[in-house]
Amino acid sequence: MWDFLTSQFGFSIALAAFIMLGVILPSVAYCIYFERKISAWIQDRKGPNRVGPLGLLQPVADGAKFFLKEDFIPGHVDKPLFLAAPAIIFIVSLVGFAAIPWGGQWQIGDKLLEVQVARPDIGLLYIIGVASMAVYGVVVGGWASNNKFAFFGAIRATAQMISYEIPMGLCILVVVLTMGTLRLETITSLQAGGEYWIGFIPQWNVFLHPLAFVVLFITALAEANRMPFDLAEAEQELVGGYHVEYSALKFGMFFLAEYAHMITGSAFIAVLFLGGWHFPYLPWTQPEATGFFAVMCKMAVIGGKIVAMLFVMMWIRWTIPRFRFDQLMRLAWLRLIPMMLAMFVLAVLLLYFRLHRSALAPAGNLLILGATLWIAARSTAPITGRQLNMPEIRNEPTQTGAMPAEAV
Amino acid sequence: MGCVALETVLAVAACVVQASPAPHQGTNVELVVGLVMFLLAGFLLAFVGLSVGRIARPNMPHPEKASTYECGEPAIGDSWVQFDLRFYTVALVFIVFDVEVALLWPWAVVYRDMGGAAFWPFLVFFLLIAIPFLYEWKSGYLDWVRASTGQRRESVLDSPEDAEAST
Repeated sequence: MWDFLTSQFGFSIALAAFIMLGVILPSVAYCIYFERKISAWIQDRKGPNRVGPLGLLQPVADGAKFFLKEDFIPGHVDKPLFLAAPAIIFIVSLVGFAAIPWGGQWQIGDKLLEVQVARPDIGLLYIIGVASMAVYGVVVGGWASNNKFAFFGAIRATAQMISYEIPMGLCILVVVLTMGTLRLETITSLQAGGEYWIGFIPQWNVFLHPLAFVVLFITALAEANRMPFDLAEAEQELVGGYHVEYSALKFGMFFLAEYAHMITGSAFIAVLFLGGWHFPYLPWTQPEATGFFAVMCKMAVIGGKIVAMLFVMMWIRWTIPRFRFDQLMRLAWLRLIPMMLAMFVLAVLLLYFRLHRSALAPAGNLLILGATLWIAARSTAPITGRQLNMPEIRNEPTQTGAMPAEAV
Repeated sequence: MGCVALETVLAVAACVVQASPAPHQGTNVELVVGLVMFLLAGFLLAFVGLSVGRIARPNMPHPEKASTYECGEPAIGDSWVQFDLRFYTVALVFIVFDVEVALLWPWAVVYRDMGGAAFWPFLVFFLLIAIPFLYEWKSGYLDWVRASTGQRRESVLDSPEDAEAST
């Protein structure tokens, strides 16, 4: 048994079980708690504080309620697809975790184990492919509900997700060019090793290509259907969007999947841009450290990075209003994609002259950001954009509250 | 979505078929095991939750519950209709674009080692992406809201009669 557990195969199975039961399910449940607490904090309220100390048992109560409420299926839906949709979206949001490197290598006895469930050659491609299948859950759910609100939500989600997938792919291509590999564990260890730039900056990709990091974060928000991109479930317009006909546990699965999606996205960004489990100056999080304590430290560090990014996502949700749909599409197609195409060319040119790890990379990023903002400030969209040549108002300004003379 | 997902499925399938890992390389069997475990967990949570939970939760069917929810209004017809959301252009542009970007993935991995030999073909390929993109942009295919005939912006805003008529 011990031999099996300390083989990479058995260890992967144990790790997968541990991550599923010990990391994902509690953290997804507590994400909801923290979302409510953070929203309360931002809106100067108290938030959940009745169930348990500080409301800490609230997720348990929520879970029990999801489980015990009546779970009816409306008569007009396409039943097989209606049942399949929450399962699809929930499963797909879990599968991406398989390729995340959680803690480098672990030395047990004379064996060196990778703290990672699977190490495919195409780890990066695998995560993108799996993550982008989440749209099927939304579309199938929205279509099967046979409800106009749900249908609009599903259509919006499709257009949004396919649009934001292209800038996401280009961001990741920039990383692939800089790192020269698709293996997530190699990308992490390449960022973890080496000298510090200017004496103190770790070699994380975020310092090389900050713009790509920001755009990847934006597209991750869009892919997870988060504010300010949650048009698929906009409460004020579509009452609930694609999950309006769902109740009880099936609704709960949509809800949990959104948070699982956020956690996968954050972990992915942490690995690509923030050095994964590496933390500068902490000897236990260097690639050479392989003891038990080092592995725990590395998992804590990547966990901390994920939590920090989740916090920013929640902060954004309760701060920024929702886009209008044409603005959303314009941001993707006319701003982010040209910007990321330019970033891609920049990365290619830098690599051509072997300058891809020099200060020219962040300088080029700033240049491209500046150029994009300059162009964006000078362009107007037809019909729905800012109107520079609005007709002048010909009536005299009236006193507040007073009726215009001709109206009386 | 479609293309990258399909590509991943194919790549995973290729890993399974190949299954001859070098010692330092990832054993692709683990990917399959991880995949299957996470899939199983998802299925268990979904279907056990839905089936076992049925014992615990109430079941009180009512015709109102079975009807379409449209904020209290009786629904007119069902929603399985054809609906143009300017979607097909975006979808078409996306498919072309996504295939092009997907073709850049293997190139991006080997470019570092091949250097100049890979640069010039890339430039040609990139122009094949960039020029149609600019063309689509200039022709207005990327605008979500498009002017239909008679709805041109100048005609509404520049002539006072039209502005008058619209108010």
